[in-house]
Amino acid sequence: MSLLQIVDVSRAFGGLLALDQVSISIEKGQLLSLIGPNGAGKTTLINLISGYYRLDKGKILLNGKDISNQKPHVLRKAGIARTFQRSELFSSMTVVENILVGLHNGIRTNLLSAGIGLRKAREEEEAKKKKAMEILDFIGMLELRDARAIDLPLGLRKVLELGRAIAIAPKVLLLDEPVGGLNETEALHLEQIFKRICYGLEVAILLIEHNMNFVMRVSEKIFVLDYGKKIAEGTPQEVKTNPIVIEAYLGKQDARTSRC
Amino acid sequence: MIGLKKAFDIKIAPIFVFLLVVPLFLRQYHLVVLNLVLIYVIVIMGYNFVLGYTGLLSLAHAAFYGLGAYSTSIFIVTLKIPFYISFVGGGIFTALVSLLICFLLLKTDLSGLYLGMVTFAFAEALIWIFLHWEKMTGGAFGFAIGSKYTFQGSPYLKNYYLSLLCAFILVWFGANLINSKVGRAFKSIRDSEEASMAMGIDTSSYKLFSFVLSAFYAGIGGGLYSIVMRQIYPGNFGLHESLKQFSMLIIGGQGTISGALTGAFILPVLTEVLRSVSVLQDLFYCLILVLFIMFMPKGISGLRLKKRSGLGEKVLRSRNIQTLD
Repeated sequence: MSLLQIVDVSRAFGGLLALDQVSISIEKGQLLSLIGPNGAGKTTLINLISGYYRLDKGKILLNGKDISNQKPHVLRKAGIARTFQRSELFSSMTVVENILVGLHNGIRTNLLSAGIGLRKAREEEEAKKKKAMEILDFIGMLELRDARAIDLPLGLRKVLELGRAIAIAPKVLLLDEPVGGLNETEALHLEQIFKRICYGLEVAILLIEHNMNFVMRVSEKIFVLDYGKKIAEGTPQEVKTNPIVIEAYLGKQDARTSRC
Repeated sequence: MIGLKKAFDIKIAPIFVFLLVVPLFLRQYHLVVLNLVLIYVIVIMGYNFVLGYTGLLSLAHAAFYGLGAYSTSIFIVTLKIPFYISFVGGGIFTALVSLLICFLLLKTDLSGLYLGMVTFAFAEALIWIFLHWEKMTGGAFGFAIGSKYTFQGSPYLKNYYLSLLCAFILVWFGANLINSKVGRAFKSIRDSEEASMAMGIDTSSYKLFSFVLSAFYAGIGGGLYSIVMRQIYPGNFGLHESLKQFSMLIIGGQGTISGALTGAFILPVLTEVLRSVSVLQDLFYCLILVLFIMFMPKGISGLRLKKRSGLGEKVLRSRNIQTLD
């Protein structure tokens, strides 16, 4: 049984069919990419899986259990983490606090014992801080723990967002353009972290990216969307040479006008 | 109370000792002013949860403060409940009423200016009730609590210590809460509600909690106010009071505990200093509010220099680490 199964999912916005009966399945510890021209429905799919939009048709299964149309915070507990296309850090908070928010559900302290400052609550807080430090170490940002998120350059913001997403060991990690706007060095650094997350922590990653060099280099498998339909899936080599994919990106050579 | 030292982000011990000792040397008038400061510490601390930390524009705080004052007075005089139980009851009653209201507000995902307008309308409705439900509230003539209902003998010092005790407990509780996962959840909602959901935070429940908690603080503050003043009027809790509380939080610095405390201290004292030109008080609030928003949007507590030394260097160093490994 696959870890995450997306079965015949459809979603329309008014008369526009953003996703039309898309099915994909994801295995444990796989690094997969979702590509397609602008407006193909990639972000919509991520928003559906992470509970930000509701499904019109189809269903989503995590370990065989139906998780369709749950609220984002419930899905997070079930093990689905995501990042955003535009960096959505908690900008007024420090780096370590950002990670601690990611650990929120792991903290069992209730309101009252937190307010009274019971020793149990304080000890748990300390333990979680230690855990946050480990995560910062994992993503190579330990030195910056007390910097405010708003002061970080874009490359590090993306890294921090990733760290925050893996805080409560998720099963599936959905990344919306994780290397968008980054230079090659920064992208390489993220790539190393992705691989450690996939193969070390056995988390499945599904990422959307427009940087084709990056996608071809890191993905085990690629799904291609166009106008809300899945038009291809396969290894980078298969996708690269697939005529339908080439057509979706570049248009038909002899009848270019028919697509435009 | 070991957790105390860590929970406060300002040096609190000398201030506390000062507050404990100084009233013994004060005249009655100054004692009441200082008592008002303590009440505002509670009220503004509560306002800070909803406005400063969670970033929800509530304009009903002064009305909740009034609701606390009126319900406490009614508990004491009409229902003959001892005053030291009544003001806690007033706080709880206010929290319950706010729970009803914000259940409607937040479950419809109202936010920003719309939330501000609806809470403002609600506040006006409450004031209207204070004014027109004369049988219960005494209407425009106000509601008086006879001296036999509160502390016997000279009440001023006892009132003061009661307020100090409450302020101490509530600030301590609030500070602990802010430094826990609850405070982080509040702040994360303010910074990015979308990302907050993605972190597994039940944002609507936390918004609700922040609202109700702030109303509880306002209710307790209002209850203490009615016990200290013994006479309350609908006009004490109207737009003027709203503006005053908003100014306190902005001037002190929203989103920090020290800011709430600073604002709660400065404005009541200034009000007393300006007592002789009371007609101009509102104008004065507006003026300093505008000046602060323009030139010091983070308030007085924002003046403390942030520890940012060496950030650039650290960024560079961690980049080097990135390229090496």
